[in-house]
Amino acid sequence: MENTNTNELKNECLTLLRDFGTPEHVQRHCIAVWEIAMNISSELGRAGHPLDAKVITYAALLHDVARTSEHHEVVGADFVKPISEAASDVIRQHMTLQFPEKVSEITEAEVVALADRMVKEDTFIGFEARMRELLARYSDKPEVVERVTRNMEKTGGFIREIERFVRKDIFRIATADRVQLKSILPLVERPGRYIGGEINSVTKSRFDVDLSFCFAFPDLYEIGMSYTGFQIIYGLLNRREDVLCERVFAPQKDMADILREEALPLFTLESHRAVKSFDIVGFTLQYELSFTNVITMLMQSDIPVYSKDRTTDDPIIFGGGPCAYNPEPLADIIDMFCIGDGEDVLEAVCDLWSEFYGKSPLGSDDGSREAFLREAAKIEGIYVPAFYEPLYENDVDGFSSYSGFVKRYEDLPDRVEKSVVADLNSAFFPTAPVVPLIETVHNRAVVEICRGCFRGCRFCQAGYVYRPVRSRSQDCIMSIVDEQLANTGYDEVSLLSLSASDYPGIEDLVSRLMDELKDKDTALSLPSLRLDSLTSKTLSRIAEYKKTSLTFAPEAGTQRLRDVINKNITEEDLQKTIEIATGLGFSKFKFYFMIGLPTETYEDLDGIAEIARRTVQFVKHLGYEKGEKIPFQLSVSVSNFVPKPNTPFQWERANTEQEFHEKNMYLKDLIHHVKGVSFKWHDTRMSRVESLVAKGDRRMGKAIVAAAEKGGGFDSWREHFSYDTWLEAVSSAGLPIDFDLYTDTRRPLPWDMVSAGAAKEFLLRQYELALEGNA
Amino acid sequence: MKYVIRFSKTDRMIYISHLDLADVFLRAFRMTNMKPVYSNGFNPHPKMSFAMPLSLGFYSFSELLEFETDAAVDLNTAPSELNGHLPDGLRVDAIFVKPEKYKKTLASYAKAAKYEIICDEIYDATARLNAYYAQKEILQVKHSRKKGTDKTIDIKPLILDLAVDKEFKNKVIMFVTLSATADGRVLNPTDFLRSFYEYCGVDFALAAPTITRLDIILE
Repeated sequence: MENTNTNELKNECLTLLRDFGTPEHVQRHCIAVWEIAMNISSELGRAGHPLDAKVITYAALLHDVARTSEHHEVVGADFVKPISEAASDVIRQHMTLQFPEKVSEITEAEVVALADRMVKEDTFIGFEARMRELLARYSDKPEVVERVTRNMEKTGGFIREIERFVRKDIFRIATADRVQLKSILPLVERPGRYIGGEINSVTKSRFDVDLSFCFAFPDLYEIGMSYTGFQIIYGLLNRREDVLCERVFAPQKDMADILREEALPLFTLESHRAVKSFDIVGFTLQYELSFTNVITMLMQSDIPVYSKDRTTDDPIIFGGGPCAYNPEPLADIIDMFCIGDGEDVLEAVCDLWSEFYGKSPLGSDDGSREAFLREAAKIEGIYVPAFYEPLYENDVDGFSSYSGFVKRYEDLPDRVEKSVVADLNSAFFPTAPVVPLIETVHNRAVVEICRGCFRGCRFCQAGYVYRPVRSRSQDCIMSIVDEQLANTGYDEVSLLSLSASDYPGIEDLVSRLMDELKDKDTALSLPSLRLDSLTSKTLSRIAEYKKTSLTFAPEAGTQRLRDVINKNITEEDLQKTIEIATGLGFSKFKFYFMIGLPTETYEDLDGIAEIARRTVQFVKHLGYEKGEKIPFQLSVSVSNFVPKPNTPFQWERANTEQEFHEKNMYLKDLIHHVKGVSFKWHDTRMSRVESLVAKGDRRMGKAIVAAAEKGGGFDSWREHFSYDTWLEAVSSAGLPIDFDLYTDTRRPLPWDMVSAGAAKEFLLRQYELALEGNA
Repeated sequence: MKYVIRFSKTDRMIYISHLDLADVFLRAFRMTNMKPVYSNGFNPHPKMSFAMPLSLGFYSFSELLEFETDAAVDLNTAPSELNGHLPDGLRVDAIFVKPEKYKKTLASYAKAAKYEIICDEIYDATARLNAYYAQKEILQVKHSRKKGTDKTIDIKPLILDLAVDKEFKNKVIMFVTLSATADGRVLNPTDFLRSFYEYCGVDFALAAPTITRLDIILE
């Protein structure tokens, strides 16, 4: 494959135009014709009639080089002849060309001439409009009118022929699937989700870059825009000159219906271009129940769902985020995964793309996709699942299970090590984040103060996979906050980390920020406080601006079980902090617990209710001592424990839906009797499905696709989730639904080929300690 | 000091709701150091308000936003400063000191609004619009979502002015001035248009209207 470099060619032509003295508005016209000619030619190529992009580029960009001369097509053709003989011929014919009847007879000349006849100045208006325009303009020149009228009919037939061949209408062909939103936006709820154009969003021309990357978030705009990882990726990619990054989110059902009815493809926010027309589409995988949306979005984009069905005309599908630590459920769908921190991996992928394709790939070659992935697999943190074929053997349970893999190439690693950003201070962090124009879950400035957590709670995937702990320096944080506020106008700053109170010098940082932000009428929020480790000094500073609810996460109801999960928080810690907090005027508290943890008994559930009861009792006593009633509200929130890969509990079986349900009802009943305490629990059926997918092997992909096809996605939304659809989908993939595979510590695990940092032996030792009841 | 901003809302920004728009301006104010004064009270909010809400999907070339700030505002440079921090499609055209005679919020002085409406599938628009307007009364059923009841009202007094600008084939461009007072004598251009289409016996779903507010008329 010849790696012709479009952008260099384009620049060469633009220099020629300038040197020739072609007026600027004609230059703009040439660029517009070129874009459309390229779009038409790429669609023809995709449908099986490839043309020479180099000839089209020369001919389209230079066709009007001599516009101001008499017989400009001849002067232009003579000028181009020494550069490209073929392009010169195209230019010579472009005014008078008669279109053929068959697609097989189309050459570069027809494409350029057709594009030229659909553009007015530098705007695409379509062929018929352009012809009507010419008729009006030359109404006093009968010979022109006659020629145009004669051509109109013939060209109309020619266009119909192309449409039949490509199976798209000419408008979509010529505009490269840029979706015209005006007719559909008035029909949907919250159209602001789809328009883009926010402050700090970036619009670049795809012809000015090597790589067009589409960042895909498999949930609604409001959810995705609140995710800081997106801001990092978007900023990091768009700061590169050779890359553009645009966004797409899962469309709400009403929009999805309209797109389907109108046969429109899923489009990006920035340019409203079809997702399919991008080079790489990168999905962030934040939670298992969003996997169906990944499938739905691929289908809406008209991209084959399975990697094996994709061709060079399709984007490379990329995936990353915490769920990539078990890539297997999506291994047949995602072409390559990023394991670990994305910053360095993304840069390396962009570098590789530029090296591989130069400026935008021209023409197509069936080998290039595989060859690119082959090279990408050498990047640290990249896992290409197609190169690892899983093996299965019959398990004792009667179902077959994963038993290892065969590598396609000898030099591939046996375990893909995660990528780690060593130093947050020198790592990229956005100082001009995109500011949503509509209300989102969180619309505020965010700075990541630390990545990773040293606590080692054995159930917590984030705690294990984001190791080691790295912090950003206070000065670095202060300067990011400063710049972000100046670039966004936000009135709230949030500090992001897994455990903000573990940040070294958190008190200093909070004090410094509070002093700075007070002058700016800006609030500070610390969403991930471990209140057990907070001192009264920090609490009192928080109390200055906000007295909303405070959250504690004891996670388990007895000290025994807290030791098992390695959550070192005691009831005394709790009470001490509550005493300080109520003294400072806080009145609303939240306790988080989990049910279904390893070794759990009903005594542990009793413990949850006991903690609530004793806490209420404790605050009452405080009130007696002070001689006044202390306002106090407690909410107990219980979630269902789901074993996650790459944690010591990865071998655990999850509770069945029935078990979860019984435990929740038991607790509800107990807590009901404790006055002043409210109880919240999670959907048990969702948790069950989450557990099946989280530990799924590669065969789970089929179930996810089936669930998406039937249910249409949005499984993390209770109103869209269908348990029966899921159960049916999982069984149809030949997998068990009422018991868990991969609970034997001696056998291979489906995600063994990726390494989250901790050795399997270490995780196993932690698991054994847990079962022995040791913290 | 109290100021009034006149701005236009076009392009993609027609899809931004009233509430969200206030936040967009608030952030632009903060970025240009024209921070509005906050109200006292339990839930302090910035002192800024629009003279008249604009429906989602409508264009406008003459929105009015008033705000109060302690910052020194240079009336000549403020528009371009603000525009540097507003998304494409929102453009401040002018900023001026709020006239003394308006003691209360501008919204309480609102009287009417002038719209340009471009719509489809109406032939002989001029004649039909004249006939429509010549009716003694123009009755329209108004459904109250709150009460769940239907009420028939005469909307003719709410149509203050009506004229066809251009018509070609089935397309028509018209100007209409509709009452929009603070005490609730309001006719929305969509409701007006629906009434006109009903009168013409044309399915309103075919109208595909583009509605642009040209002017807000204050007392």
